[in-house]
Amino acid sequence: MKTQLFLRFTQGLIIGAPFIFGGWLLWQELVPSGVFVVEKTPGTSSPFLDDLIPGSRASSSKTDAQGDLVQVLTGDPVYLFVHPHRSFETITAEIWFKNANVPIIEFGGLVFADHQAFDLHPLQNLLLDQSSWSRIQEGDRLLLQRELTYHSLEDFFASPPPVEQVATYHDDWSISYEPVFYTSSSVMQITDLSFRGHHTIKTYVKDETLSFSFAYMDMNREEGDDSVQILVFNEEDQAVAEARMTDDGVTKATALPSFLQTITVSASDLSEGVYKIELNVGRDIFFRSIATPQQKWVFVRSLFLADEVGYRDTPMGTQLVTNGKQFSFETRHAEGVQEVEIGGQSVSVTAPFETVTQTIIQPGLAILSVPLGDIEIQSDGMIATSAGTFFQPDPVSLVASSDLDTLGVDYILATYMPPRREGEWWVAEASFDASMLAQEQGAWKFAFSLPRILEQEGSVDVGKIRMIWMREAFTWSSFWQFLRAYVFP
Amino acid sequence: MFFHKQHTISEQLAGTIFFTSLVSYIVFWILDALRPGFVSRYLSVHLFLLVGILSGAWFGSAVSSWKERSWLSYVFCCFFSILVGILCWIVGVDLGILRVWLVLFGLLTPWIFYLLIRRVS
Repeated sequence: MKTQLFLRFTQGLIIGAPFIFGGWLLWQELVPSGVFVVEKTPGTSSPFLDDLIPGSRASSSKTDAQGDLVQVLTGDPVYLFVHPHRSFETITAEIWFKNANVPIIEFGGLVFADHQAFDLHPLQNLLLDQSSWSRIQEGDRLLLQRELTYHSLEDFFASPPPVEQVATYHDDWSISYEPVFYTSSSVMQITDLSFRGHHTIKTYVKDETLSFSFAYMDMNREEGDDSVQILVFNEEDQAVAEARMTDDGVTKATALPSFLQTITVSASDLSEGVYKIELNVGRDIFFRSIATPQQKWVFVRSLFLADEVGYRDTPMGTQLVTNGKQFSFETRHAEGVQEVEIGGQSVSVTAPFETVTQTIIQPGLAILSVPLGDIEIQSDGMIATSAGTFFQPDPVSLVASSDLDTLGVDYILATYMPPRREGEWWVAEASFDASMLAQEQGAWKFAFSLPRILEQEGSVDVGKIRMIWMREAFTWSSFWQFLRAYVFP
Repeated sequence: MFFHKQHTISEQLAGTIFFTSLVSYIVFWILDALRPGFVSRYLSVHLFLLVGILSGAWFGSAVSSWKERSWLSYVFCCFFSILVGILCWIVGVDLGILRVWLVLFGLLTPWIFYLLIRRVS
């Protein structure tokens, strides 16, 4: 009898085990609590978090001097692919790391797959942490002052210094640009300039209609749809105008360019101020000219000069004006190899797909000459096509290589929380809106940004990465709503 | 072959493990095919097959006597023949024309296995 009972009990356990396992799998899949935590340390495998790559910039798992398992990052950027099993609303990433001398460490999620644009969040900024300037921290807002002038952030915002004296770091603060002796005009100025892909332009408007006409070609060098969207935002980041054009009908990589087309975005009755124009296009869209009556307009921090194959027999070359101090140049073609001049200094771009960096110490504006075009320019400042159209609508952005003395900056305003200390580790958090993140083959792509890590010959040891994914928790009321909506419509 | 009155505890336990793991393998394999990663994120579905094979061997050795019902054997052989054929088709996606031969081999394997068992027993 006892034997039979034991037998039945054991059989029950055996038959019940797959049900328990199945129930656990279902719980993991559905996430009824609304919170799903994934964690990975170097040397362990996870179905949700991959190891950091590429191997040339992130070592395999190793034990450091303190006996901790780490992946050592020695280059920039380093990527992390994350594989969610269902949709979530927010992601909070907690990164455990050790850093001795890399000035800035940031972590971000891919938001635009076409442009490989990441929403970066600061993990650690040694320039701010180790600064000897006077410091005011209120919540996640930090103000550093070369000389103590303001006693609170409220004082600063109430009576801010000139925008040229302020550098910001992950902060949206700005003051209204107010030029002296500005007169609006309705005369269209046409600028011949070949540039490609996504760009951000800022322009100043006062008692005039905002109007930008872009002549462009779809070069069809890459697979996919090449529609064009232009959005205009005001200083409150509200969209005030939009223009769209559909693809030319060729989605294969034929390398046959379309004819020249024009797209115009305009808005009238706008209040005085600075407006941001986003050119949401892929790299296959080559702009050839800009026509606008606006007298002040600049490219924000980057300009991808395009080649003129299929448009001109010989490249026209370009001369630009910029207040940037840090530059990087890269060409994608052998024909783009050339000598670029910036601030009187010559920079040799000697091979395709090799980034060349240059720092200038000349204060004020500098001339940038690109004789053959076909170069992607990244800068920490604004880029204009002439000194007349140049203006500085925003404070300088603090980057790893910023020379605050040359820039004439006396104040730094940052949205930044220093990482917390746990033993030998720094621990920092970054939160993301999952709906804003792009997915590549069902995976989120994150990146560590470590500017100047090579120049500093530095490294960052990454230990544990912990992510908390959140979604709406299961409730019976939402379940009945679902039934009513889909089963009993 | 499979359905007869079980006597010993060993037979019953082995039989329970065998059928449970076999059914679990089929069910979890189908679920993982319908929603990739549902099971395979955490462990390999084929672990159930491994348990099924081991417990099947134990079950076969523990069974003291059996009454053969050949029609049931044929049903099982047909079922597993189709299952293995489908698996071979999925696995052989990059094999070109060899895929057809692989599927044919897969279809025949359960029958070969059955004939071998009959011969041995």
